[in-house]
Amino acid sequence: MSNPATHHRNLAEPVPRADPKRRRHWELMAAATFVVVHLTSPFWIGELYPFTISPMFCDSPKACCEYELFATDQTPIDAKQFNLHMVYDGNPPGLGMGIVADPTLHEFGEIGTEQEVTRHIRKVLDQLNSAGADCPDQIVVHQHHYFSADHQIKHEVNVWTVDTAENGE
Amino acid sequence: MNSLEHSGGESNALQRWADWLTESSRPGFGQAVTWLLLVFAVILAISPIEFSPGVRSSDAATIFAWLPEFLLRNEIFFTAARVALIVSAALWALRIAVPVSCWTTTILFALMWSLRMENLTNGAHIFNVTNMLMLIHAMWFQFYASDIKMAAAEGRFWKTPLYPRWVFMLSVFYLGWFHSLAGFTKLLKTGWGWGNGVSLQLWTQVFGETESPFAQVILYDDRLTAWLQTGALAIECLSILCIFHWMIRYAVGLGLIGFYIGVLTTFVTFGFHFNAILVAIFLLPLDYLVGLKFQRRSNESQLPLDESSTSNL
Repeated sequence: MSNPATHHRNLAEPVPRADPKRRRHWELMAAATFVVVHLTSPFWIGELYPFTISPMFCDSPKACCEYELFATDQTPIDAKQFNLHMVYDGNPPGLGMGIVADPTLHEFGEIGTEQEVTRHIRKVLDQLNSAGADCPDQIVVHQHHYFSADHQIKHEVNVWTVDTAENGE
Repeated sequence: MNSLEHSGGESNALQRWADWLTESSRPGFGQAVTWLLLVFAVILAISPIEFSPGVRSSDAATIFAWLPEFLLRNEIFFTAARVALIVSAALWALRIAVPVSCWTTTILFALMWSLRMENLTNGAHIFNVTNMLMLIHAMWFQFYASDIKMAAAEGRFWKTPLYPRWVFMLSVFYLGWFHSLAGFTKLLKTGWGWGNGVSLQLWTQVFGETESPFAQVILYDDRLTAWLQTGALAIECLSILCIFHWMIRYAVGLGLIGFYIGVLTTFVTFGFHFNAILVAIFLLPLDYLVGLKFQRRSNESQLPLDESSTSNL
């Protein structure tokens, strides 16, 4: 007789079948647990993959803008370098994401005024110059402004040229 | 009716419901869904990875946020997880080492997507449904592993009732709840004015394929778009009702598929294809078309045999 502790099942032996009533109890318990956890997870787990509150496109922006930056010779400049990039893809920024995005002048849905954008770029230019970074004296800003008018989305491009504080003031 | 009879009646109703949930069907549908989920797993495993520069968020993003930074940012760890996921998925697909391979696949899938979310500043909700349905199917294999092995060994796997109704209904529940949550979150964050038409036009203009026919409709007039957007919100909020009756399920399925056709033709790169496919499988009448019928397994009911029945959903 084989020792049950050391007995290895021969492949030819029938596979032991689960007790149906016992299994039924546990499978229904598992299913119920799954349902309860998911119905309550928005309150005690929230947005923690693979759990989610399904937050995609839950906001309601009325207008937005994107920025393109150029040197005076039309060489494109990375808007991120001036914190004018977009941190938005339809989800609430940062929610459920492991890396914090670089800060931007304003959130998606907000529109920067000329004074605001100019002041911001001038400040960044001064910081870059103080740090000895190689940067142009002038930045040409293209603000792509999207807004609603006459029941449609209109696209307007505002072009501003920003000097360093030294040159501009 | 006295309280004892009343309590007995409730208990009987619960028993009937438990019987109904544990009725089983031939495993063709469940096996095909499992294979599809495993194909999604392989697609995830071979997809390119991006590491965004920046500092780590103080809020946990995934259930693997506790892993040390050197692992979260480690490309070798990433590659190892990819390989392990593919191997594990292949084992599950071939019903080898189940249910262990089912759980390793589910956990590795969660790890793969978590590693992505932990290394990005923006990301979409494209694999939550796949991951949770994979978990449900791992639960199925967990409870039925011995029966599945026995049926497979005897060459009668495809003809044996091994696919319990609760696996199907739990998948339907998750799909309904996932979409209802999307509706509830919109209402909580923005209120009833969410479907004003302007926001959808704006997203379409900035992120969408503006040349697509559906985008053209959206961009045409915000009053029309408001109707479409509010309709989508209503369908999302009502999605959870799909668990109550097959007719509601098909209606919700049609509504959600219409919604997904709009989304997929407008926001092509957002990757909601996986969710759309799973919605089509579980919420459209595919079960009817493939003849998915559940019946009570012998010796499992708590009720007398004359109360049993063979039924569809």
